[in-house]
Amino acid sequence: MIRRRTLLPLAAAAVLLIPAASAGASDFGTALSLAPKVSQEGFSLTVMANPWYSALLGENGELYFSGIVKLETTFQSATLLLDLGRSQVKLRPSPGISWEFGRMPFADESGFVASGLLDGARWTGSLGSLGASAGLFYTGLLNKKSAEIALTAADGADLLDADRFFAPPRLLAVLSGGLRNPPAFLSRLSAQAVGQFDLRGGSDTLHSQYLTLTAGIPAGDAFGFEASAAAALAEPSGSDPVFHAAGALQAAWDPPGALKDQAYLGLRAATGADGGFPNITSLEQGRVFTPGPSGLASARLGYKVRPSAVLGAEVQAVGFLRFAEGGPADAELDPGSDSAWLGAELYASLTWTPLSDLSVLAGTGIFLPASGGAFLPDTPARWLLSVAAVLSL
Amino acid sequence: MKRILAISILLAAAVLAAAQAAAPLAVIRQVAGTVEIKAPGRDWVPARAGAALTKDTLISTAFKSVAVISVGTSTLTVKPLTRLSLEEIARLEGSETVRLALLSGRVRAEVKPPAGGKTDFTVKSPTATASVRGTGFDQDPVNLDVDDGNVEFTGPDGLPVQVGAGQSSTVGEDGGAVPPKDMPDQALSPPPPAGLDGSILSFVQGLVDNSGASWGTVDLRFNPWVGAPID
Repeated sequence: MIRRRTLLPLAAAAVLLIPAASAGASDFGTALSLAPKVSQEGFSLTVMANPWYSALLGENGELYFSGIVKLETTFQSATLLLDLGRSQVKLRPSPGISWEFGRMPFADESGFVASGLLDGARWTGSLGSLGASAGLFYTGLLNKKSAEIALTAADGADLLDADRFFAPPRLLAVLSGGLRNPPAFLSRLSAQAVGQFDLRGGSDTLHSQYLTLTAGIPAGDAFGFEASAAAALAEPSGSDPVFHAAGALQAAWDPPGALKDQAYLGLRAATGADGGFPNITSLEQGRVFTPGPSGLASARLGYKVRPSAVLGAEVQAVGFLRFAEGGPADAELDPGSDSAWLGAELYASLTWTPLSDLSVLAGTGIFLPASGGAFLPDTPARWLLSVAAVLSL
Repeated sequence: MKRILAISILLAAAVLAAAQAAAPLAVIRQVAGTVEIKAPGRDWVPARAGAALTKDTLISTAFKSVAVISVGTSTLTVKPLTRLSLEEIARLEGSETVRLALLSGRVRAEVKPPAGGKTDFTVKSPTATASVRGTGFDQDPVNLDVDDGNVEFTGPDGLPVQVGAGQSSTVGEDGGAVPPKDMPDQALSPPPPAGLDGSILSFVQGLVDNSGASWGTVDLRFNPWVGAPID
């Protein structure tokens, strides 16, 4: 009943907007994906269809609706996921200013707070010498499987409740600003404030506030650095607020020459004590081993190259360390071990676009948990080998 | 006999010169999907490969439709949902002048000067102007992405900024072109299939690695102050 009541306004908006848009240019299509994957857990085959509709709203607006129908099958089970994908109206009343309404992509600037599709409204424009953006988002209409929000025990219970469809109800207020003309020694300087308000009520709630600062530092034509810092204040119900911190540093090198390639080194860490850094969405830190950022430090070294217009490749090695408190939860961690070294993973991927309507993505990787001692001694390596073919109809 | 031969050579040279002088400077090389052109004083007609385009011709592309046009020695790719006008195409003493009016949509230009000459290539939109002399760039009415060479990008305030290879700029609220910034490294990956939104592509990426399949094993970081973790 709740689902029906909350979906009705969305359906009504679609019914009103689509005819309005159809007077102008519009188009629709479907992306079909077929993705077999084999890993230490066995074989799975995922079939996904993403129907979409796009239209212009006059000369300064656009409309986009998309859906997600995902069927994941193994030899033992089949799981169907139905969801609304990016579905938004974007209006540009004047150059440099835009308003967005609906379900839209969001990623905080530090990479430690939240990432994914969110429902709400966002304004982007300028405030004096600042490029600025402000948004207000609600998570309670998202599919819980897509949103991956688990900040409290109540969130965890909802995630495991097969009868529950929606993600925990939380409100996110976001304000971002960046210098339009940073000083010469910086390529970028921006700050972002995020307020997260738990609308669940009751005794198990967690509000949290975040402040992030990101700076880009050029170093000649070939090198660039980017540093991010995030401070978080978690406000659990019935307890004093707790301060958390996270930081990241990335260095990139674009080798001279005609080949489009880049080598990079990244370091990331977030505190884990006192409940851990309260990242709102899951924010996986690896491609095979996928812990969240809380209580974790990671170092990654990678290289990506585009040898031709239709081919791209990337290889990446990541090492994971955990802090004494609040590191990742994993069923195969040795409860008697206090080793900080969790292990390392190596991941390689290939993207091939042989036709304008067809793309093939392939990936393979291995995580070696036993190399550290934090995992149980007989923990096998985790690995995957997968391919996805995407056809745009 | 020699006189006939000399006259023939002169005639042939004159015909060749006339043909070269009359050779259209803008020709449609490829058409995909629905592309229409409108010559001055004429109606819209479907564009066909090989069609010559004259000054003040309008070009319009529909969804999923692309036109590739040779403009002098340069190449212009007109992307989907774009309308532009060839305001000026001229060749004089080995140098070319190309002025395009981008009314809406997005174009990609590969600007190559003729051998021994120069190209003055300008794309003007309602809000910005990009002027180049040998480069490759993508432009819509507000934004500019440069992947090769240098582009002079000017907003309504008339103050230009130089946008170099691997950089982008846009028109700010105050009407000025924003100082260039480095583009993200998407240039290191092939473009996604036509019509595929970036958000859909991220879902597909999540099928290949484990980043999009962890909802069942997501870290459940329970509030340590209230109650106990569930099983």
